[in-house]
Amino acid sequence: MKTPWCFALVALLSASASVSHATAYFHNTGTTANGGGFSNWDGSNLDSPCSITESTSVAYGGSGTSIKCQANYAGSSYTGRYHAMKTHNNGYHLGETGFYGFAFYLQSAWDFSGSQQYQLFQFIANYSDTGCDDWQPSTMVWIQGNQLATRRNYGSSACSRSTQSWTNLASVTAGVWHRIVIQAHWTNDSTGYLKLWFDGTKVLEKLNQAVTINDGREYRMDVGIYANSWHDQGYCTGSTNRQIWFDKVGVGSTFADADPAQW
Amino acid sequence: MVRCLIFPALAIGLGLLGSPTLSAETEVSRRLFDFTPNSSDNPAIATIDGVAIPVSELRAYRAAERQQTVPADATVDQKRALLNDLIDQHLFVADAYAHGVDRSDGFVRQMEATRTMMLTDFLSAEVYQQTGDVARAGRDPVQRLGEQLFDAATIDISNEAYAVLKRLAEALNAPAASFQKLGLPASEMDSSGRLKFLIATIPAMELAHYEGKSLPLRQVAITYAGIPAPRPNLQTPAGLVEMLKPFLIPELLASEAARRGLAETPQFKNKLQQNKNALLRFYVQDSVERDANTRLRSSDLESQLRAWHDAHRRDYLVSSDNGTTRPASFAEARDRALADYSVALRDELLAEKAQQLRREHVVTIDEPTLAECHL
Repeated sequence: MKTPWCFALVALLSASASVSHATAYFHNTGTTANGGGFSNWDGSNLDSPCSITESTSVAYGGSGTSIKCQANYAGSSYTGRYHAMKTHNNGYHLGETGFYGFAFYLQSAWDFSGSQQYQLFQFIANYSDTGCDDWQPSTMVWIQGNQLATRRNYGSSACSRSTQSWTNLASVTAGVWHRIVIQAHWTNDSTGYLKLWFDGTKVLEKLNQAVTINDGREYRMDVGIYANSWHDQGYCTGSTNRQIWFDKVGVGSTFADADPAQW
Repeated sequence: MVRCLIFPALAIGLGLLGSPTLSAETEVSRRLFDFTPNSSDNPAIATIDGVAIPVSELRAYRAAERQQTVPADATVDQKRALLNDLIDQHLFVADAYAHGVDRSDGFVRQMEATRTMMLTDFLSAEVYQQTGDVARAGRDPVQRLGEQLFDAATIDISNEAYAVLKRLAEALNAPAASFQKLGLPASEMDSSGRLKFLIATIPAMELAHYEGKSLPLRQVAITYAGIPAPRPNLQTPAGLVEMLKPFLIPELLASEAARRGLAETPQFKNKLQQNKNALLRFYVQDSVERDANTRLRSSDLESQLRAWHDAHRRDYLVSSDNGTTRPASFAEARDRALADYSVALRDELLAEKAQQLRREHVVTIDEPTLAECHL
């Protein structure tokens, strides 16, 4: 299913990058429109069994809209992937420091059975010129069972990299708004760090370690649902219909600039 | 059924299905994590102004947010620290209620929208359970139900408001030069300027009435304006209908859910209350973070950051060419210092807020229950 030409509540009327010592680089208030810039996405990472719509009845922050991402398992004969994500090209590059935040709501009947992964958020870059894996995600945030997890992806190059996951960070409740903020200093040496807050509580702090690959290309930021296990494992455990709503996505230089309800 | 009628342009807000309030005296009305009723098997471990926080709430808090830092076999001191953190979160919520945040216009609208979403969510769960595997169904049964409800609904369209919408659509899709005829200064002829100009001309009118509710023209117009070109054609009734569906179908699904009694189930009520309290908690966190950001925009930020950097030099290193690390200069570490300082400010202000609330509210801890409880 392709993204319908849904409409967007324009944030142009009031949103603009805050020019101050605390700088917001990207703010999206639950709209699906593309077009780049401060409030609009650059595109979608969308596979055929999935959909992205703008839900006008939802208002985590009172804006009146949120992004509804849905993945439907298409059976064993479908060998493609299951992305329903909005993309923002300027995620991060090597050496940067930043905050990244979003709010999400799992459908109330979310099936927590099994151990398959459902990504909510990822950074990803195109390494097709390296001869190794083409699109390589770095840090990702996912749900496995009812547990929140994230990871670092680091190494000397795209062809020589390692990943380390941190699981059981928090227990996610279905049918309730949650919010996540990530703080990272993106290096491939011992000066890097990765921190994650869940509903305002810091649940991960990994200091003095490499958190990205030693490569200066820009990583794209994807927000939505990616049922990677359905593709990677070739089957679906439990419910074949997965819905997550997203709102208040932010990127900035301080905690408040990325925390969804700040604006 | 969509009908076009001539009715007065009334500034009527969105109708409510019914305010989702619970009595303040309801024992679970302030819960954040768990709704197990108080009982001898689930005794109070603390109270705030007489409202009990049971053991189940403490366990659920640890499972939700603190499992990495508080072990299941925690000592009494660890449990007490966890409980005090939980009490702080409840104090934030209590403070929000005390200041009427839950009755503020913005929060009420937020809860109305959340309730609508939850009703459609609960209805979807029921429909998927009845219809089985979505993949085999061929078409999303909830989407099909939404279309059926829309086709069956009586939707009255204001001809006057529709005419305004059509003119707006025509103007939005017109060349930029036509805006000069409307008096828009050349300096504001970019898309943002044209948009603001048009939005400012939208009158307060209702575009549609349905099931006792109304849809403001302004809401539809602003959304339409936000669609990248080429925009849908609103000059035809069919185009208008397609434009209205995303606005009305969720509301119709919510009404259907209410008709099926889903809003009266304990599960729905508790989940709605949990969302309300979660959002109030976030509200208080956000107000503190706004204060922190205000400080970060002060004129002496650089001196604050330098002081922070000086006090935390060991935390800011950069790699040397020989593979070792060395202390970063302020210029090299400034971005990291700003980031860390913003977090520290937030944490400091949250702690101050919690301490202030402790002085304003009566908090008790049941030490024997704390000592005996298992996480």
